[in-house]
Amino acid sequence: MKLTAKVLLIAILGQLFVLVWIYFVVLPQLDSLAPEVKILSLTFESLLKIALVFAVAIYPPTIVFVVYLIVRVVLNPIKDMNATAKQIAAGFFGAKLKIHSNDEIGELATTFNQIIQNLINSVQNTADSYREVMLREEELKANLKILEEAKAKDEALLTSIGDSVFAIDKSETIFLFNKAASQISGASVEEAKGKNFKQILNFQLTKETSTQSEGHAYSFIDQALKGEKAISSANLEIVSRSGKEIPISTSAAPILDKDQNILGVVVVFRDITHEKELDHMKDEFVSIASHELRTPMTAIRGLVSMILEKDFGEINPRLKAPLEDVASSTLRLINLVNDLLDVSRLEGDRVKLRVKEVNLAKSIEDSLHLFKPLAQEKKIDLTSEVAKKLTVLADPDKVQEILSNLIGNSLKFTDKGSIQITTVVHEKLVYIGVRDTGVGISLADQKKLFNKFQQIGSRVRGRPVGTGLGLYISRELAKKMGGELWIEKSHENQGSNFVFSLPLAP
Amino acid sequence: MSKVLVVDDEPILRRMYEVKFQNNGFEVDSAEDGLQVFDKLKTATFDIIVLDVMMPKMDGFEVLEKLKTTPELKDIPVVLLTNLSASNADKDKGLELGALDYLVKDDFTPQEIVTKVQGYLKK
Repeated sequence: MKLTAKVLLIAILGQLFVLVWIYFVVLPQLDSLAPEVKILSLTFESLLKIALVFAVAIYPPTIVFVVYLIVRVVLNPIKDMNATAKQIAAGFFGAKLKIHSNDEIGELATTFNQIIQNLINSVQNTADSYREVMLREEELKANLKILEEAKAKDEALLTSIGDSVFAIDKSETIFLFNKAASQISGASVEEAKGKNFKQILNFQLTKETSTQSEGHAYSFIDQALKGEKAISSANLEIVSRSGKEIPISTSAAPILDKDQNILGVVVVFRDITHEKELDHMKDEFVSIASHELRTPMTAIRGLVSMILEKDFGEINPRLKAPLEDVASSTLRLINLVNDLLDVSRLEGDRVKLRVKEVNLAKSIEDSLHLFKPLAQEKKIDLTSEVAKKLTVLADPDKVQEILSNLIGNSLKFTDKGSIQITTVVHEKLVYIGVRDTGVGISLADQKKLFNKFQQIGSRVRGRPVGTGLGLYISRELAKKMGGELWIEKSHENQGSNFVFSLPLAP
Repeated sequence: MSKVLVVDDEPILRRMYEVKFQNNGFEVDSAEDGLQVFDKLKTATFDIIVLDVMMPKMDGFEVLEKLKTTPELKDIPVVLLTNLSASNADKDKGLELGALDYLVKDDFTPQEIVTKVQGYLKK
């Protein structure tokens, strides 16, 4: 309204000024210039005075009309915009300006609306983003809770596992250490995390272990760090803080990510003091049992042989045969007991090997010496072809056992021809072969050869032949010493060739 | 006539070896445990001692050690006998302590054992 009033006032005053100026200045000037001019018999002055009166009567309404038009065209849109703007400013964002015309004022209104719309969109986006962020935060909180619960469960799991568990990264630093590990080592979980595991856990080889086969105490972890799976070691001890040596059974496995990269190693170990005690008791039992069993058997065998040798006087000749049967039965019994005890020890993993450098030529010669008499009796050629300086890493008694078993078998199943012992060196192993020209073993029987209590061809030979455990024991012994034992070749009536391998001494 | 002392805690085995040695021309005495050995040695001397390893109170190794550290007794030859399968370690131990040999009873008949003893005495 203020603007309208201003414009009106200016218009009227202006016009009045113009009128007054015309009446008092222009008209008299004009009149003085042409006093005699007469139009329609009136002087200029009179004419103009009439015109002026006329104008005054018409002019104000005209002005009002004009002002009204101006106000309508220009001022109303502006007033409108002003009012809407005030509304928007007050927070009523839905307000929109009416576009009255196509001119600059209309354009201004359109632009104004656009600005308001942009502002509204912007605020809306912000609100949406904010809501999204809130939702995301809720989700994350929920996930975090799940993870924390899982972590708590894992920790509870680790704490309650009876076995000791620890894990190291590639730089051998402990990042996982459970309660059991802490108890057995004497180091707290906080102490252990972040340190090299060798500072916290003192592993060492047991006294019975030969260092050649085990390497050093930590080799199983080194192997796992290189990616070898599930290495276990049963010959280790851990020395606790108090100096106590505890025998443990260990197992290490590499930790792999989804691309099979090695992240570290997880190790599980267990106190096996109890198991070792049990083993010790079994060993003692076996020893005692063997002693108890053997004493009467030695007596029977000895006495029967002495009776037959007439140490107790002449005997009825008819007693000779049955007494010989008693003697051979007793011998069978003794062999069976010995073999059973061996099998028991092998299966319980309680065979103590005394591994050292063994001169193979000597071992073979000793075996041949034992069997020469029997070979000569059967007129079989018993020979060997062994390099003089051949040494293997093995338990000399067990090597003798295997040789005796194989040569003995050959002698049993060969009636004529020869038995030959040969050796071949290849890479890091020595292969010892016992070849005979005996009855051979059919392919079908070959499959059962190394089974326990399997006696091949006993019906053919007519006499009971041994315990059926010899080959099984020999093979197990070969394996325990790092080699193998197998039948290289055999055909019915074409003899057999048994081979076993042992590690070459470095 | 050579004199042999047979030492074994098993009476049956002791008697068995006694008969065998006697039938081979030996003079025989026997002891049933380590302590008796030294009692016998106080009053008599022997050409050779056949000594069982597994015995109560004092085992064969202990007897052997004591014999070899006693000046008057250390020169008596000793042969160890055992019923267990001879582990290398035990055999080495026996020989180190001064035994002439370490024999597993089951590997030999009584006659074979006596023959071996005769062989040792000839040296």
